[in-house]
Amino acid sequence: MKFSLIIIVSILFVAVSSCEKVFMKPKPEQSNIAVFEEYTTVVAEKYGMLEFKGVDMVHLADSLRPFVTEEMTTDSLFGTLAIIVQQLKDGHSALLNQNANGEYTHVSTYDFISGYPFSLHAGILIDNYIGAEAAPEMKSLGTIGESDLRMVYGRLPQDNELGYIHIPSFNVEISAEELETVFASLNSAKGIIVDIRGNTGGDPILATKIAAYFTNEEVYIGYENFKIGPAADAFMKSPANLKPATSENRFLKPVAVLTDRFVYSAATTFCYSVNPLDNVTFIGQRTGGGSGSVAAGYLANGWVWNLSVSEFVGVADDGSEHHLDNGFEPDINVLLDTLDKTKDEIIERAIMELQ
Amino acid sequence: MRIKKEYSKPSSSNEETIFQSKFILMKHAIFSILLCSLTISGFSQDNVRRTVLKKSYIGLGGGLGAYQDAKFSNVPYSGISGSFTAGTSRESDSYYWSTNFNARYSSLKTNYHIGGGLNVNANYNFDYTRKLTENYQLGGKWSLMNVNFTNFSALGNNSTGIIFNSAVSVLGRYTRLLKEDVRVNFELALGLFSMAKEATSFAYSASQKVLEEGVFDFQNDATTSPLSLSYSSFEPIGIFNKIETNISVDYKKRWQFSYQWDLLNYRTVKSYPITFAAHTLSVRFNYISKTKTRLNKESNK
Repeated sequence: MKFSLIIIVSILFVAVSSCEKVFMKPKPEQSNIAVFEEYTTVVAEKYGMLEFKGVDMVHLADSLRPFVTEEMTTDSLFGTLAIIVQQLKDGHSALLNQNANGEYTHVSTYDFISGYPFSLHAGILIDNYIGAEAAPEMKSLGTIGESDLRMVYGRLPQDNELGYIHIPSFNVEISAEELETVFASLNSAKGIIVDIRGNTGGDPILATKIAAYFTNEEVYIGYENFKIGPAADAFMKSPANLKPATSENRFLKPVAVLTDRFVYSAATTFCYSVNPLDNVTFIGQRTGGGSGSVAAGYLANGWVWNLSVSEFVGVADDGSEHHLDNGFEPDINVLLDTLDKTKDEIIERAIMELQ
Repeated sequence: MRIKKEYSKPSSSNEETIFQSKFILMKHAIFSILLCSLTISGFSQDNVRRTVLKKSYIGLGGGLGAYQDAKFSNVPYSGISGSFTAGTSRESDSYYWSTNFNARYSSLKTNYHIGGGLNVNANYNFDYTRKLTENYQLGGKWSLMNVNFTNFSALGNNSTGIIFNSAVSVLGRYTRLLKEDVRVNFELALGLFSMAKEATSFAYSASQKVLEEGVFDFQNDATTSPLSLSYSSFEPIGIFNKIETNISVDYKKRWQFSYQWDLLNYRTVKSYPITFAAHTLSVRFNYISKTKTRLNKESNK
């Protein structure tokens, strides 16, 4: 009798205690209409730039809803949701579906490059400026021309008094010691060209670390406006200052930053960090933007959404505020002539500015 | 009342409500600390002859883990889990205390879509209870450090989630001797409050407190690093819900078999909680199990 009572109490105890579902949200529906409603809600609640992009999600959802049916195919449903992605005009925002092999079967993202000219030609750069033949003293972190390349730095063969730093991506690790070596080697140059053309981003902390070498004092650079809740007005600004690097090799002489439309995300972080500095000039083509921070999640049918959940509003050296998500025009606009393989017009213009 | 006077009077009804809530929470916190202190202060009372059962143990378990983070998806995930535990305990005629380390790994899958993630939980805790009657015990549990690490590689910037917390729970235990070598124990621990930090927020991979205070800064590790304990916050029951239940059977000197259910439900934004749960069947081996009897030199009487 005593033993059976214990068994009964144990079963009750297990039954009562196994109630995590009470604390969880109800399981989501996977119907076409439910997935449509889920995605429009996620965009309305999470996306950080609806006002700047001029997107009224209520109106957009209302205009698409009549076309969503339970009978429509997966491709059609994806195509309908992709209209929302395209309306955001944001390279960070995407909708993706992977199959069991990890291959993407459906992808929707905004092509922010389309319509802009190529402004970087690897062959021209290697043959005339950074390759072993053209510039034997140029150094690199990783191998030039290979995927492990993290940074190229040294003196330009065209003018040995000018330094050159090429950062193809911020999606790499560069140690504090390596940065010290780079800037110590260029400290006596009369100017530095920082070439971030083709840099589509990566780690914004690394971008900021490098930017910190170009100032001697803390400088207000703008603010990041984060979405902090589901309400349409639930935003909070985080003001940002660029603090100088704790190094004796900070470089305060003229700097030319070379840009093109591929400059995006963390590369934009680098741009807005040095933009207010008096010693920095931007040369090249309009940048890509991507100033917001990104979040991701799953819809009920397994599609992955990516959305910008903030926007960085930068300040220029005259104190004016600038929305940066669609990039910004450089101080000096220069096109690359890819037919002339003997020179890079954008680097040549930067040399002129710094001489 | 004396405590309340030390605060300046709130200026609006909203602030007053918040103020009253904080005051009630503080009362709960002080009450809980007093409860623990009182039970601990009773440590050396009464019994002239004291019998203490000392155990040191290791254990292995397996079961089912469950997870949902409503900030990034309403899809629930679950999967097989495995756990390891090690600890030590002391039990006398009047008290029971133990210190325990536990680590658990859970694979997380769902039938909603392909792919999935994983959860690793590690925690180190102390618990202490006083015997109220022969069968009933009451006391507290301090989960000194509890870390929940989650990874969903397909989610890019949100692929990694980390929650740190240090929680205080009230702990009740019922024990009953079924046979000479068989004892059954029921435990329930209910979290009262916690210092907690979740590395992800409503919409980004930085803590909600950092974003709400407007202090996010790429040059400040305390605001960007998921491993930083800065910007932790005091979270009461209702926002930080922690429940642990345990049924165990002590068999002879060396063995214990148990079923345990752990729940952590935490929200930094209303209606968007993150929930972890685990059901674990485990077996524990007491590599030390010895009884010591001694005479107390001091008595309260």
